[in-house]
Amino acid sequence: MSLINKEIADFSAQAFIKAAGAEKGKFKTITKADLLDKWSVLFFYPADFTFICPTELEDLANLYEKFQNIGCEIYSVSCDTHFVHKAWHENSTKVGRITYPMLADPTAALARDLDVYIEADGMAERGTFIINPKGRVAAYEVNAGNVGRNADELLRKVEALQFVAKHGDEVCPAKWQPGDETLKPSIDLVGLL
Amino acid sequence: MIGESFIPQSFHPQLAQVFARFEHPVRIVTHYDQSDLGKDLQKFSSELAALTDKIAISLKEAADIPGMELFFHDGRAAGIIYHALPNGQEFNSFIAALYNIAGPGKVIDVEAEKKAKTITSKKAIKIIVTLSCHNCPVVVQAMQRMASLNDNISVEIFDYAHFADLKDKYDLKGVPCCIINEEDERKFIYGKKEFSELLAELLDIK
Repeated sequence: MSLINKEIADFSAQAFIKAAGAEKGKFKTITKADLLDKWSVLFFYPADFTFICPTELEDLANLYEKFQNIGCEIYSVSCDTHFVHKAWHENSTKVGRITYPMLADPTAALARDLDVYIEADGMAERGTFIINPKGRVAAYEVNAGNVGRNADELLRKVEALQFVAKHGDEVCPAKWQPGDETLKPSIDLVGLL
Repeated sequence: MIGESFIPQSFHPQLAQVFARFEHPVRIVTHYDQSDLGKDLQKFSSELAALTDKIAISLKEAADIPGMELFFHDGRAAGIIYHALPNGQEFNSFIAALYNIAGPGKVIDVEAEKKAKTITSKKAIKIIVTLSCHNCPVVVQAMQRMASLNDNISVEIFDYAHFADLKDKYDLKGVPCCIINEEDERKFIYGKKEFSELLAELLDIK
């Protein structure tokens, strides 16, 4: 069943955050309320201290400022604890560059809610969820195994979703292919004279 | 469309009613080239001018891209150029543009008209449309009405079908898309907006 438009469940999770320029990181409680009234990305990955995860998390870190500029918060999420996030952040050069909140989901409440929890492994699939300001899933993708994700494409998707949310049915797609039938004129001059 | 008639016979009576109300004649300068659009514009403007003596056309080889440029009876440029064959949803817009510059023009709110005339700095507006977009004519008609009222406002209408490169150039996300003063503020306005909303957007640019 599609998760599009699903409202995320209430949650409370610990996050490790080391803001840009901060000397030390800190722990902070994040709840569903933090995700409301703005755009958010929940970026699940299997586990800390794995190989592919830091590369895609670093990719995301490099674009974090751009996400912030368009009013979108990034949350990486794994089923590790916030203490493990801290240890990884302090021990990996790539992960050490992350300035967005790293959410801990050791009870898998978030991963289960969004159906990316692998029960047998106790880890999350590589799922990316774009959450709209009403706390609902606006777009998502789940990749099998070690297929990494593209932060540029994620940024484009968030921008596109924001655009559609803002302009709704006021716009039409800019789409035309060579060979499309030429449109006939229609006349309706009522209201002109 | 080359070979077929652009303006169906069934449209002629309604168009005659509009042309009969023109207070002044208008001139269309058609900038043509050998592209499909250039050839179509040449044929369309000739067909239209053949319907009435209130419309005169001049043909001019396009220096850059093809388009139909509209002029008041006194020779002043109206600041309206169609880089689009006014088919589909835009046929009515084009007839409205002619009526606006021929006078008396489409009646609009008196206060809005006064405000539109108060704009004293240049507003060069590009509008990107598709001929199948039902939201586009609302914006095109409002912007060109403002251009007909104020020499500081100019409007160029581009049919995306012939200028698909604009999608990448402006990172176009949909139509209608207005780009105001590309060289300076480069303000983008997306979506269907009424005259008063668009006027407020223009007045907002200092």
